[in-house]
Amino acid sequence: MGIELISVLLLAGLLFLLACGVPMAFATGTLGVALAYLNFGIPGLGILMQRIYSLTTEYVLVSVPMFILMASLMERSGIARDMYDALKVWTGRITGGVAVVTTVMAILMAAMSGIIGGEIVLLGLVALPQMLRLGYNQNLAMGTICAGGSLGTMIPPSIVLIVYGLVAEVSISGLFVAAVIPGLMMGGLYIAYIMIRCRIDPSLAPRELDLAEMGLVERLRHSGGIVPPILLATVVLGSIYGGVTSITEAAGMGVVGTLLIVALRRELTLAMFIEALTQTFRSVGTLLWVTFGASALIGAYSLAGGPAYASQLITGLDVPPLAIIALMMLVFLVLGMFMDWIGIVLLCMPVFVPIIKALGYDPIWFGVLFCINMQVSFLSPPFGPAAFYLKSVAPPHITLVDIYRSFGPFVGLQLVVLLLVLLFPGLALVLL
Amino acid sequence: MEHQAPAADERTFVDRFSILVARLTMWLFAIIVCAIFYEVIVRYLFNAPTYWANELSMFMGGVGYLFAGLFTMQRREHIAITPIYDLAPPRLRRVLDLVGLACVLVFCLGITVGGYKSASRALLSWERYGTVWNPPIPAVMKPLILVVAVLIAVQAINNFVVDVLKRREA
Repeated sequence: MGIELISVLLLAGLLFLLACGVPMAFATGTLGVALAYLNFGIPGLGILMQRIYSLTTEYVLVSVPMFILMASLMERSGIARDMYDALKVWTGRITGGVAVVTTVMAILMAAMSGIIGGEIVLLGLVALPQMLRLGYNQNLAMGTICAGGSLGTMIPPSIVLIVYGLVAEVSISGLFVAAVIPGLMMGGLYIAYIMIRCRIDPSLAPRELDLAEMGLVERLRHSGGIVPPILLATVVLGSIYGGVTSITEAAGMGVVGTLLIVALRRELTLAMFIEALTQTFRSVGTLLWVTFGASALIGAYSLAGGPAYASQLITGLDVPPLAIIALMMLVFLVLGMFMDWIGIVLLCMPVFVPIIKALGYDPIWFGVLFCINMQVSFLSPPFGPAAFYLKSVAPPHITLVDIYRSFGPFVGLQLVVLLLVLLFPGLALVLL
Repeated sequence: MEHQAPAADERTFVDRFSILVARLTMWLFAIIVCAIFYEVIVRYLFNAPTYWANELSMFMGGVGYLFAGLFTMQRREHIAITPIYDLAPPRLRRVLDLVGLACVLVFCLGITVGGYKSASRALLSWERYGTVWNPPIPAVMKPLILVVAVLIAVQAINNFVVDVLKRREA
């Protein structure tokens, strides 16, 4: 069987199995088995064990459970609530104050953790009731929370970038540096958007009057809650950027720091820790087995010469390189509507990254572009995970459709950042 | 999803086993935290880095990932795209369940058949990692991958049978 036919059959098979509702881990795994067996017989099946084994001995992958554990602990503590209270006292005079503060808080939390679920849930619990109580426009409130919460994987540390770095074989700390400007740009644009819209139509964001009266000393006195998050972000990011520890160690120290703060706040109990561990274990099970399955499939596909073929096919096209990249972005955006980011990284990157390198582009820049694409995918219907996270903590009268409707302007801003980084790679690469 | 993880009083022996193993192995992640903390402290405060902390973390992590997959299977939480499944009439659902089960079985069988040789070789020769600390990572991990693959297959069959029986009752 020729590689062209194999590629087409694989794609069709994958779409079919996923449409059947087969978990991605086993849909990809089964196709990997079929491909390896049909091409190389029983000995070919050895690739499965080889791939899984090599993933389990990947040191940097240990950072994934560490970041998840850190977020799970944070979710069960009052750290976020206190941070919100601390930031809130500064909002009285700012247009759209609470929404702006929510975004600032999202950025700070993103700098501590590398995942999105916990962050959106926390913001949904802490900030959404406040905004609704004050009479904020519901769409503005929900869009702010979900778009802001998604920054968890855009602003370093980020498990999206960790997995991309592993698959594409590029420096993860390099990716973390490159994502800083685009990440902050995205957060900054959200804030600018909120302020401009609220300036135009102040009824969107009524102010909290008693807060406007507060004096400076009073405000500073209330600001203590901001200290723990900043400390934690400094520990994690400082260790990584300073080259003091590996990413895995930084994540582990983040867990230690979180435990310490949670203990000092007298919130740490055995039951709470076990709950956090269980949640971590569940997330790790889903993430890692998708990784195993997809990696088995890609392993078998590579043995059959798939990526080389695809690479040749695409680089042989008589189109400008930027058009190829734009096409890849389109693939990410479309896949992002249906698939989880992890499946997209694992299945696409082994094919795309060699093409990027062959075209002479920097795979670090491409990783940042991918990360921005995934920001869009978190908010894209019908499966944008951000909406589901918010739904789980929003008041019952708010439906999924309401939530998706609120995302429009924020997706627009994400696409603006995508376009900017696409056209000006320096935005990502200048800090390297 | 139609299928929820079974309630506490509906768990079969297989469910209880998977949960028990999960409750034990999830502590491996806590051990990793301790190992990293210890390593960073002794490295920076006493300038005496360990030669084992990184490999221990990796080792514990690897074992954890494997069993986490079993737990996820027990809880029926593996990531899937289910709108078609959710819309499907009961009869079609049964077919889709069967397709899902077949995929799990094929993947797990493939891992087992393909990995049997290298796993038994690693176990019998007690293959080590080849570093200063030299932990028996290959000797443990490779056979363990097979064991977990089999356990996941068993759990998947268990889930399927439970669903069929439940439908009969209803």
